[in-house]
Parts: sequence; structure tokens; C-alpha cells
Amino acid sequence: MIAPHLALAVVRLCFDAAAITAYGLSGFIAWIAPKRLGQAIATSSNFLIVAASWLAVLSTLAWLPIEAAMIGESWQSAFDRSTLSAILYDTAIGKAWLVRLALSLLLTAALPWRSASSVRLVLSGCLLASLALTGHADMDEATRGVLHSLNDALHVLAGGAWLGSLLALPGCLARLRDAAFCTEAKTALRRFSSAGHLAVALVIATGIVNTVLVLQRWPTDFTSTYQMLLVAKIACVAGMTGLAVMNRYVFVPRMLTDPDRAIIQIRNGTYAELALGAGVLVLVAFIGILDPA
Amino acid sequence: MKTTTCTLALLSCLLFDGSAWAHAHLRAEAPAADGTVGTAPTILSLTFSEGLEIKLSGVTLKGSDGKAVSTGAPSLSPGDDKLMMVPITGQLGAGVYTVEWHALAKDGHTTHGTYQFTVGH
Repeated sequence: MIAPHLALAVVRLCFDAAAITAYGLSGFIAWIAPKRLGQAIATSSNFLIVAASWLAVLSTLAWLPIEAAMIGESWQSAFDRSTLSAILYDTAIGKAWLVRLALSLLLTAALPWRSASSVRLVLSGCLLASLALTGHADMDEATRGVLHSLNDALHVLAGGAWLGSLLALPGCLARLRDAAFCTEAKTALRRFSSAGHLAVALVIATGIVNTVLVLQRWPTDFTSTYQMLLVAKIACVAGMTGLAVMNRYVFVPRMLTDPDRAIIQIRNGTYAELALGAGVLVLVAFIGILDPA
Repeated sequence: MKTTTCTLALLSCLLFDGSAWAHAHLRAEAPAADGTVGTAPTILSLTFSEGLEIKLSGVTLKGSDGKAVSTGAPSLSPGDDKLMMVPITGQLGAGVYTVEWHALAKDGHTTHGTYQFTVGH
């Protein structure tokens, strides 16, 4: 039987992946892609949106008994009524859980409404931002805590937009060769590039603020698992940034001279970025259960 | 240049992570750990590094014979959610006592630990 805190990391990973998938895809469909292309991508990625919405509900449901098991230090506590009700009614994490449950249920309820990408974007955005309710931001007092929570939420939203919208990119690239969608796909790529710069800039700005507020040191102590995972995470995102820069400034210009090859290179770069992004999510989930002190 | 700046900025921003310092660690306690008090205390005070969820935090006080001494419901000091106070309702004779504490921080992380103090000489 795995330890409750490991189960918590797995559930956290599922939740993050689900929320980011729904958020990034909906954002791409609603904001980046012109209308017809958006509809085409919505149809072809519908299975991902359905899976992500249900995974958001299931991972949220699973979180509560796992948290109870962690508090009670045994799986018997997972369904202990007094522990569950104490978490639900007497703790900040319990309130955040109720918010997440409501949001993820709404996300699932909106599924039959295929064209409701903006609604999905808002719901999944709120789901992601709700992570800030239970993150480290709580450790600060009053006003500083509120600012910290806002900064944290913005950070998660920008990072989620970056990673999640990458899921829509291969479909968009493939349609560059489709005469019916070529113009719209080019428009979408231009918008994606602008929005991508903005998202990365936001991640940077909010990240710097977070660093100032939280860590106040470099993760250079490799005897600490926490700091080692942090460094691994930094390496993953540095790699993602490198790939993004290469896609935008090396492969995109090549589309003028050798479009077929350039499209394949950008697609491969995108898959590599997604793989590193998945690595970041795994690391975040495990870093989240570790004690840095 | 742009790339270098971006990468450096990203590197620094990634230091953010979620749970930094968010576990509740015991910072101070009264009676002090490994200390000796002349008269039996009527209250245990434990100061943590983070705010606690008091309904899911608490202590068990045990005498050297391993028997639990009865204690009242833990409460937070008004205005300080990092300070847990537990009234001792049972009788403490001279001897060594062990405090086993468990804490749930506001962000859902759990911690636990033990310390001892001596009543008497």
C-alpha cells in the first residue's frame, strides 16, 4: 500500500494536468484560433477536454479521503467521519476543496455545451487559481498574504496557459497544409506567438516576486531532496524555454524557405516542450509534499 | 541577449515552488523541551513556524509510565494562529513527561514530533 502522502502527490499531478489541459485548450480555442479553426480544434480535441473535465472531478473527490489518511497517518482514517468533517468545516483547505469540487462539477456539466470554450476557460482558470488558496501563500500574514495569493494565482495561470495551449499547437500546425484552414492557422500561430511571449513574461515577473516573498536563497544544497527536485524543475523549464525560443526564432523563419520541414521541426519541438512540461508537473506534485526545511 | 535574460529570469522565477516553508515546525515550547520545572504546569504552550488548523492539531501528554495524562481541547492563542495552548486537566506529580504533538498547517501539510520535560528536581 502506498503512503498517503505519495497518493496525494499523484492526485495533485492528475488535478494539475486536468486543469491545465482544459484551461490551455479552451484558451487556444476561444482566444487564439479564429472562429472556424477554433471549432475544428474543439472537435478534434474534444476527447481531451472530456477526459480532463472528468479527471478534475475524480482527482478532486480523491483528494479529501487522502488528506484525511495523511492527517490520521493511516488509510483507516481515509473515511473517518470526524476527520473528514473537521477538514471540511474547520480548515482553509476544506473550504478550498469545496470550491474546487463545485468548479470541477460545473466544468463537467458544461461538457455537452461544446461551443462554451470561454465558459470552460473561466472555470478551469478558477480551478487552477484555486491552487493558490492552499499553496504557500497562506503562510504570510494579512495584506502580504493576499498579494502573495494573487501573485501566485497569476503565476499558475500564466504557466498553465503556456503549457496547456501547447496541446493545441500540433493540430494547428497540421492545418497549415489544409487550404481551407491555412490562413486561419497562420493567424492563430501569430497570436500564439504574441500570447506566448506575454505568458512567459508573466511567469517571469510573478516568479521573481514569489522568489522574493518565499525562498530568499538559491537551491544549491543538494543534500536536500527538495532543492534537488527544484533544480530538476528549473532545468525542465529552462529546456522548455530553449525549445520555445528555437521554435519561434529558428524554425518559424524557415517556413518561408522550406515550410514542410519547418512544420515538422516545430511540431517535434512542441512535443519535446510538452514532455518537459509533463516533467515539470510531476516535479511540482512531489515538491509539493516535501518539507523544504 | 534576450534569450539569456529570459533564461536567467526564468531560472530565478522557478525557485518559487509551492510549499516552501509551509510545514509547521515546532519553534518553542513551554515547559521547555528537556527542561525542568519546579511546579507542575497547568498548560502546555507550543509555538509553530506556521499557522495551524487547531481542530486537527493536538498533543498527547504521557508520564514516564507511558500512561496518558488527561488534557483539555487545544486552542489557538487569540491573534496568533501559530501558538497552540493545551490545558492540562490531570495531575502531574514529579517525574519525566513526554509530549507527542501533531500539527496540521493551514496549507494541509502535517508534521509531528515529541519532546520531554521534567517536573520536580
